[in-house]
Amino acid sequence: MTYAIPNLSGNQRTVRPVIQLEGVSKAYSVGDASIVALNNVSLTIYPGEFVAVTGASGSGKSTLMSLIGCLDRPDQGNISLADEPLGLINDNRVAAVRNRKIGFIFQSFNLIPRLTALHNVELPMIYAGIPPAQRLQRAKIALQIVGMQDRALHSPSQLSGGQQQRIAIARALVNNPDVILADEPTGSLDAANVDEVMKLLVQLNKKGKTVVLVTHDMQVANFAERTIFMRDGNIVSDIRR
Amino acid sequence: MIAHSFSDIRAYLRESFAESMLALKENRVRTLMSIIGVAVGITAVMTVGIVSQGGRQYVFSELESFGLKTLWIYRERDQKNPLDYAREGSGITNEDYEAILSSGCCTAIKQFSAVVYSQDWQTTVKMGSLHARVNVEGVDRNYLAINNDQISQGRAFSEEDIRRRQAVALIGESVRKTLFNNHPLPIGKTLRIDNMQFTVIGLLKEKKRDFLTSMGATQGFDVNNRVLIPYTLYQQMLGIQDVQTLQAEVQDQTLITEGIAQIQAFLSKQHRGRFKYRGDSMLEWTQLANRILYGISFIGVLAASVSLVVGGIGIMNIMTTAVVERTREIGIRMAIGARRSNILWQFLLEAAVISVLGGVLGLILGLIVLVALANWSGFPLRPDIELILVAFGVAVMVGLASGFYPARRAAKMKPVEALRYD
Repeated sequence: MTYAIPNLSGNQRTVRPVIQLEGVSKAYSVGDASIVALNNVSLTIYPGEFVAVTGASGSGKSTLMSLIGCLDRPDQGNISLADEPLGLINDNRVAAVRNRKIGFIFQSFNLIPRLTALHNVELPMIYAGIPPAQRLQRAKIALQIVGMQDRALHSPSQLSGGQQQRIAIARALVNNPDVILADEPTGSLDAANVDEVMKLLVQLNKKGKTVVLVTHDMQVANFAERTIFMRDGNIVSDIRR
Repeated sequence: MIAHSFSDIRAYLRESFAESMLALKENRVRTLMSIIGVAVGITAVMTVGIVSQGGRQYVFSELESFGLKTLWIYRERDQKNPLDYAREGSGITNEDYEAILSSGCCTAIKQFSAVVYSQDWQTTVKMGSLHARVNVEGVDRNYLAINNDQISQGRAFSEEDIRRRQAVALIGESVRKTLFNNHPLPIGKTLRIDNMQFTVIGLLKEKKRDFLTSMGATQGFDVNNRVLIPYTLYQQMLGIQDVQTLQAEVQDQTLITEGIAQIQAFLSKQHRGRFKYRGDSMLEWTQLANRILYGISFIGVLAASVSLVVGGIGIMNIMTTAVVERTREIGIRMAIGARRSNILWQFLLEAAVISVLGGVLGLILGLIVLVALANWSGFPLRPDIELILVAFGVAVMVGLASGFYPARRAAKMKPVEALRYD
């Protein structure tokens, strides 16, 4: 096993981690059998990092993503997100963490089809209870960042895959989260759009956002400065460039 | 961070409502079907409610034409010795009547009237060459008030008419039609009863008793075929000193039984227990009517409720379908920060919108049905605001109740599984 030791001589030493996993395990039961998806995984990610998690399907990378994203809870171990331990918080607090600390980007864009692009971007702010005027303003800014301000009133079905993914990125940004979690964000895109979307993520990371990306595509993983390989529920390598 | 102020909450609600409408519009046909389902239920409940209420009013307006507080006292006839009655009289003499009026014996009674009639069921009355079989009754002044009779033309009996045995008569509508050739103004004209000339001084307002007649409650007696004359004069014509029936109005509907007992006790004392007296009232008829009407309303409302339940199941059905179809959407919403309560309310609101729209449509349909029914049946059907509010409230309750299960199912989904759903 190769572990890249975090650079302790730089500034990072004084910075507190944004994501911290300690001895996290997760198993799924399929019928009578129990499949170990994560096996005693520990991981620390610092603010401003761009991390790619790769591995074959079934390696546990998606499970890792779900746990970091508070979409699921671990069987064992502790997870902290932006200094908040997730172990004992209740459902409403989990919803608030997802709402404000995390921005999700999915492979299949996951926009709500009957709502306009603008409305989709406003949705996280609606759940955050942000007043309508402020919401509209922030949504427009987010659309501008991803270059989709002209498509604000289009419905998802009127937009191309690349455009939909950019709307989804705007939605992920809009509550100014600590971490952007992207689960195979390029999996449904053609080559040109892959480049566009990845450039956008790099750009966001350059501005200071922590980005965690799950992908099985090594070319995509190469956009990241740190790459974690997973196999059978374990981290097998963690390489910084 | 919860919504900041009331206007924010209002804005949030407006938005949630707008979103519900979008979701419902997405499946227009399905939404419309379940709206119609609720509407039919509401229409049914409303129609049954108003029709049974209208029926009740109708029946009771007929019962009131007898006077709900009215009672009759008369000597019980001995079936074995029918001639006793003719020999011994009615058991209520003029002295008894005067004593009852002056003694204040019967505290439950508000007012009395003597009623005198001949032994024959009907008497022939003539007017010129026309004649008719009518019910002639000799009555006292209070008779009209006790029987809820009103004078539509002319005047009632004066005290002098009774005391001085004036040959004056009040006639019913049927009599005016048969005997006076439907003449609109029979006042001042004369008619003959047993060869005696009577001047018509008043016309009795027509009473409707179609329903009670059809139920057999009037025993063939046509209330509009009456000729009323002073009981004093009728006694003289018949050569008797007693009254056949003592009619009375009690102070309050609840005192009927007590009133009858008081009069019976007084009369028995007057005659030292020689005669038995019977007391009748509308009590048993009103009780019977109440029982029947409540029974009908109950069954009707029950039957109508079934259609409302079916409407509710319709909502539950489409909401369950919507929740399954939108599993992924629920996952997305949770991933971007929706609380379970946000999801719950989103689906409840959709169910509520369906049921409110169904309620409104049901009210409109119900009003159309009622207007049509009222026109067709001639039945006075008035929808009252209370019933409309109840129907509307029931619609909303049905919506929320049947939306609750699917909404809770949505709210309980695990985000990681919901997101994986295709």
